[in-house]
Amino acid sequence: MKILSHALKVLLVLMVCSCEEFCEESTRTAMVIKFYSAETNLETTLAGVSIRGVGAVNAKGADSTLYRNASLQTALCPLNPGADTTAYLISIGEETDTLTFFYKTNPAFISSECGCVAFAEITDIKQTTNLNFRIVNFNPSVGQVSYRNNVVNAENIRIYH
Amino acid sequence: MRKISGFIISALLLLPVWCSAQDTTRYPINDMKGVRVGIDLSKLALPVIYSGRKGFEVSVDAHIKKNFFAIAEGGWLNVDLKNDTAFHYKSNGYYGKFGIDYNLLKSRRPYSNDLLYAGVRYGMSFFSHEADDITIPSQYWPAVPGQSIPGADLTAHWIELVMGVKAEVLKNFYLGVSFRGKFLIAKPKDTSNPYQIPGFGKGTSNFVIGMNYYVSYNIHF
Repeated sequence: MKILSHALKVLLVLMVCSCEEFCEESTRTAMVIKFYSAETNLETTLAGVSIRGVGAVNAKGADSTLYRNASLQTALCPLNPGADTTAYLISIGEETDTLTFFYKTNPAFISSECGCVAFAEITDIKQTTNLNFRIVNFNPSVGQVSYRNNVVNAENIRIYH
Repeated sequence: MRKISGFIISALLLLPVWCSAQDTTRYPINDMKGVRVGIDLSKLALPVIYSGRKGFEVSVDAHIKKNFFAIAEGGWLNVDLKNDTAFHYKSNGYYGKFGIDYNLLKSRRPYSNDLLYAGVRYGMSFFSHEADDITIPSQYWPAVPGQSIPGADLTAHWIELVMGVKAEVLKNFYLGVSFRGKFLIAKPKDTSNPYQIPGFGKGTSNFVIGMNYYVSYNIHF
């Protein structure tokens, strides 16, 4: 036990040397939208999809398109943390629908290194119906985007088409 | 540094096995009289390891029967983290844990009070947190300054499984280290998860691994 007691003293010194230094968590928060087939109710990939936030501008002052003519199974659409509604334009070909999301923002502190992020609870969704989407608020809690095996490990909105 | 610590921790856990292999004579644990009071040195080192945190933890244990010890632990944690451009987060609270330890060690020396133990704890924490001057960053929408997390009084409950050693390095003085798996059974109810739950650990986790480093003194009466 003398060896053990000396080792315990060494361990105390080593403990002092372990420090947090880096942000090891995702600080990206976004609504996760997944597309489903209205016929099979299975996940599907839609081609030619463009998604843009209403009122979003990039650093150069032009409209900021999230996805342009893309083949999508999953779309990550951030909610505006400075508002209680965010509208997205979703286009397939020549048709466009406006999806408006109503939510409550909850700031959350992650760590000293990561800072704060905004979580949200989606309370309502309104849509135009040009594309015949059926929208399901599957999980209203919007949080940090995480991945498992390169696949987004969350789902907020299901769009059946 | 964490890998080196992990190796040394593993070696420490194997030391009793190595030591006991040298001598086949076994002695029952001495009937420890009185109570043993201790203080967790790792909590005192918090301000050095983690900027903005301070706390303390104390324990009291007593030998109740054969190889069983009753134990109570309690402490306090204060967190005050400030980034002038992004946030000011504050949290403060107390916690208590109660449980039983079982001594697994038959000593090589008569009248030895060294312990290799396994135990279980029930823990509870009462604390509050709040934040102001928050700036919410955003990669797509404009960043939002002037946000806050309103103050909230919170509670949490958990179960711990403990494994540790206590070595009597001087008469009645003990050094000990313990490793704990903590399972959260009642989460704090708040729209914003707390950063730290006093006594438990990270507020967004349901399972946490922790370590304590105690110096204790046996008070005879």
